[in-house]
Amino acid sequence: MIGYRLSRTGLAKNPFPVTHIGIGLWSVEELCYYICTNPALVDSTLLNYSLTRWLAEEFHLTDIALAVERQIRKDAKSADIVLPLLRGTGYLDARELARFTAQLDSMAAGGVAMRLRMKADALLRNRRYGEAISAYEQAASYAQKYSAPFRAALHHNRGVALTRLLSYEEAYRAFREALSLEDTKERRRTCLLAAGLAKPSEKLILEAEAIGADDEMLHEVRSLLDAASSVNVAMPEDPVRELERIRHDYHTEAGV
Amino acid sequence: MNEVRNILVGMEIGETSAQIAYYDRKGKEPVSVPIKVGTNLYVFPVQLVKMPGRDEWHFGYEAEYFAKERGGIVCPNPVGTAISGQSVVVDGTEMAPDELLAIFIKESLSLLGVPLASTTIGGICVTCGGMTGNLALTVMKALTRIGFKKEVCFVADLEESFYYYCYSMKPEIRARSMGLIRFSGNEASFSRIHESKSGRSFVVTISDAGQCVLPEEKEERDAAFAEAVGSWTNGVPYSGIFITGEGFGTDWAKESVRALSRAAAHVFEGDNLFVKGACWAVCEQLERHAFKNRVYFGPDHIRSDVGIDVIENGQQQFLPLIAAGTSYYLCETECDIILDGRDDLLVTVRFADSAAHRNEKLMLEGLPDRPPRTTRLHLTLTCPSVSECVLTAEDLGFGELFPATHKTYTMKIGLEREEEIG
Repeated sequence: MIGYRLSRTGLAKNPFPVTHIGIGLWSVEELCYYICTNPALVDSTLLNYSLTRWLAEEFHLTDIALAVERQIRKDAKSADIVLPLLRGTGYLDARELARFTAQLDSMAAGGVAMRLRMKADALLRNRRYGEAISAYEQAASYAQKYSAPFRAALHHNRGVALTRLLSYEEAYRAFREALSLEDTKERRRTCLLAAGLAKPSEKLILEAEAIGADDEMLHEVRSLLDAASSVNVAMPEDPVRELERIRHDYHTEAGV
Repeated sequence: MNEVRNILVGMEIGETSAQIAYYDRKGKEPVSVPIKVGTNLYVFPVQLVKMPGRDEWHFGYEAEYFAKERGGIVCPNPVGTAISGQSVVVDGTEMAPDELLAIFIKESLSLLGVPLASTTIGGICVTCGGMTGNLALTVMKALTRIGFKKEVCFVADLEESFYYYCYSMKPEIRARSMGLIRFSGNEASFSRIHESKSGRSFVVTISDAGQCVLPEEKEERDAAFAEAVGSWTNGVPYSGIFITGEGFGTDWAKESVRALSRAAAHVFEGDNLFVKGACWAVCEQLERHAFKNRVYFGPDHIRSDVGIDVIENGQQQFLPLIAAGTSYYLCETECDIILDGRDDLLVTVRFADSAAHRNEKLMLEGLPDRPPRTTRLHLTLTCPSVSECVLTAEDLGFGELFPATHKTYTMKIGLEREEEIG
């Protein structure tokens, strides 16, 4: 196995901003990696003339920039726009390229709700919880004709995002919504955990009865909540700075 | 000169004298530049003079005039300063060795009559006798200070220039052995070119093969030199013998000329073979690439390729980090690679004089666990000596996606054959 890829283009002087996940890309390799691992987030916020200018000015990839621009001008689908970039840079070999473009085509052929869900999942993975929540809500509004498990998953993932933003009460309601659409042991367990975070501890038994959780599940959830509340976190050296960082991260993740 | 754009230049610099030649590709060979148009004066003294209080410099014979008649300040010898490596003070200002040498070279290049030397010259090679690492680096610094890009600058010792000169000649001149006779007053030395097929390449070396001290008296001198030629060449047929330096003269060399004619099919005499060789060096390195698998090994030249196998644009290829035939003091390479499923660095040393190679592995311990193709390593390779190189790899992470640790890993790699594989 060779295991090394030569980077002839190096690093940019100025990064290319990726609005969906709030970072800058500093190299062609990072751009290709971002596209390949977040196909649901590859849209006009990325594939635009600013990108082609960046490719031409920072890396002198004029041919690739022009090829991408031609596709943008034709209002081509994402798979056709990214193809000259991925092929021209050699980031993917022929087989990988065929697989990836098939994946993009399949996504484009899927319904609106499916595409929105994939976008929301990608935002969730990249800790953009606020935007993920909006995307899940949008997906749900298009998903009336989708199966119950699919719709349940939308609510469940929205609940996960809300939990990350410490909105426990709203998260609990989202998990209850998921459970009402698809009653499984795992969904009951999640609801009970969320209830433990959102409600006073004495209400946990009532919650367990309401959702049909057995004693074993109740005991397991109680143990988890007790363990979580007894974790000792060391005081940071600079608490004020640490608080600022937490606040900044929260606002970023919430999309504020 | 007709060509004013993109000529290739050779410059021979010694401690006392210098000369310049250029190649404009229309001609058959490089042309020496006279210091005065219409004359045969090509060699000029290594002298530099500065007018006090002004950024005005004069070089060569002109420097002598401005020093004597116009109050110019005689600068320390630019080449001597470069060799010593010490800064000097000129007109109350401290100057680094490369700074002073840069001014001398830039002023000398005005002989070419081109307006902006660094943009009209496609490449330049400076050749000196007694080349050392420090001198080579100072020359390179001086050339880049003038404005030349590093990629078009070359440095060579006189032997290497001679190699480029010989192998740029017609095939019949290099059909058999070639030799160089250097005169310096009453002393003459003989060097021989060796070529052997070894492994992937034709390896060329130049070795000293004799020297003598000649009497002053003409007849005795002629006899002594003729005898020396006979013993140096020793019945081996030479296709070309080149004579250079001061001390050879057709006024005394009667028997000697006969001895030379018996020894070699072609005999050449002149003082510009090194400077023309320097021109050929630029031409070969930048454009012609006619020498292909032929490589010259001087005492300071690396005798191995060191590189790694990489994927570039979907194709597997060997990326040489340093190439055999490069002077070790000029070996400095940098590049970035992206790791794709590996946590080590496998480097291959390929010996130019055999088909053998050796692999060296650098373990990248402590590197964060990242997905494939998300670790950028910055590689730097330098050679502290002709027998060793040092590879350094620095973790640059993957931008904001996977922050860098800047952890560095270093490995020394021997460049001499120890064990053979394959």
